Amino acid sequence: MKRLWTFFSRMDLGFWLLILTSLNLFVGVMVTTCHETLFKKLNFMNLPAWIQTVAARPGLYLWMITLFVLLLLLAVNTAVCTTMYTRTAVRQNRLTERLGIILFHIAFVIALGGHCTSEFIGLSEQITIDAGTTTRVPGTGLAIETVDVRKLTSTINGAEARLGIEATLKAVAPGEPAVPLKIKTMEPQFSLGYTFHLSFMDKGLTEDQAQLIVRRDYGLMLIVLAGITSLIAIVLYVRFTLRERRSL
Amino acid sequence: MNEHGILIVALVLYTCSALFSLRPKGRAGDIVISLGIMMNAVGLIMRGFVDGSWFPALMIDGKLSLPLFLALIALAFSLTGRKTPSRVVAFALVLCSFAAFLPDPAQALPSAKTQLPVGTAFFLTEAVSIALFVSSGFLALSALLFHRDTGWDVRQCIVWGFVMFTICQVLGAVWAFAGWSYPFSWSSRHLVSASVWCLYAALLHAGAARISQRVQHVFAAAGLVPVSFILFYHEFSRMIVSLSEMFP
Repeated sequence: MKRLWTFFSRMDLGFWLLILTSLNLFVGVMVTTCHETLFKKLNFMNLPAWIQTVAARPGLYLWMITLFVLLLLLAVNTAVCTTMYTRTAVRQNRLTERLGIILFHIAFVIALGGHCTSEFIGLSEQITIDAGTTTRVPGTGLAIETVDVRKLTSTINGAEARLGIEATLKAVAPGEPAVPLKIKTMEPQFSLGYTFHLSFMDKGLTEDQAQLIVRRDYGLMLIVLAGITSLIAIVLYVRFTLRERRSL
Repeated sequence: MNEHGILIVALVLYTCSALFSLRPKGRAGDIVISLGIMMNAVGLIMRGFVDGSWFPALMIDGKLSLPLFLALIALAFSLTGRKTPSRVVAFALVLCSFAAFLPDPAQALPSAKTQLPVGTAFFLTEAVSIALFVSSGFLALSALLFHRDTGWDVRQCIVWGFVMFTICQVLGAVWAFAGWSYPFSWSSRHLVSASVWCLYAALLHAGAARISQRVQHVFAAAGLVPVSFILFYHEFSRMIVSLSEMFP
């Protein structure tokens, strides 16, 4: 156990794991560029469910498996190194100067946890809504009554600029009163434990139709926490750590 | 004079400033590069004016604003007395300006995606961080190929580039969630950003991990590949898809 702890507390391990992760992600860039449509579906599916649909083509997902292994090792390495680093900082009474770095590493581990939660247990459904009709959202028990859909366009310098889509809806959950929703592209709304988004994509749809995305993602809370923590860490890093290093 | 004409003037000024910077003494290079910065800024401000209204988001185009930030970095190095790094960045500036300014830029139109200020902030921080990473890449190349002592400058560019790129990723996640419903997507655009982030995170740890400076410079120079992918995303994507069709 002690040898394992010593192994994971090595900084050079972190360096090489990050380099390998970067290379692995770049392989992913190549694969996703060549199979864009297939990977777009993954944004609205759990990873295990998506892998089942492409199980016969390992070339599409092997890089994801190696990526998850690398990220897991990186998370363990980060946690161990940060623990050691914090211990040293406390012992040397230099916690303030190093708090930015410590918080940044904690934020990284939280972000990884958040993304992992999103990929494995997040729920996301994309449905087509049509003005004057009611549509069920699979897997949520929700029904969406579409009151109105409006496409915002403007002619600028002779070209059509698409400025978004607006929709007036009512979300109905079993046994609960209908909740009115007025949403727009780029302006999602949170209600009934879900976030409701209007998609930009309206290819092949009529003027009264739009794509609605209904999402429940607990990983998002961790991602938000990680984002805020990393911004605080950056402020502390610039304020204390860089100043300390410059004065050395 | 239209926007493209002004950017061509900026390109000429940048080229002249790079030639002036080769002289051992004098401030002519600094004066000419400052004029180039002004012309570049005017070109970008004009790009934001569409049909009588001003859209800040349209100003921040990754390719067109990269020379502006590279020029500011070259000027900053020159004003702080770091002549060699200033010359190297000026050389990178000329190359990037030719690639960015020579083709007539397509007319930018406002869209739903550009209406949220967080989107503008995302593109701004991305452009600044990419300029710093490009600078670090060229400085590392000069150290590897011409044995220039640019280690400290490479490090500074990586530290500040990483800080800006992390802020950019947090803003990008907020923007992606508002617009597309997910903070991270399995698309080549998001994956290449993650790849870049991991690479520079590794380089930040390189000193503490006792990685030799030569290896650090090799990876900093290699960073130009994924960074170029972000800058010329559409061109690279088309090339990869064409290659995959040639060799299925």
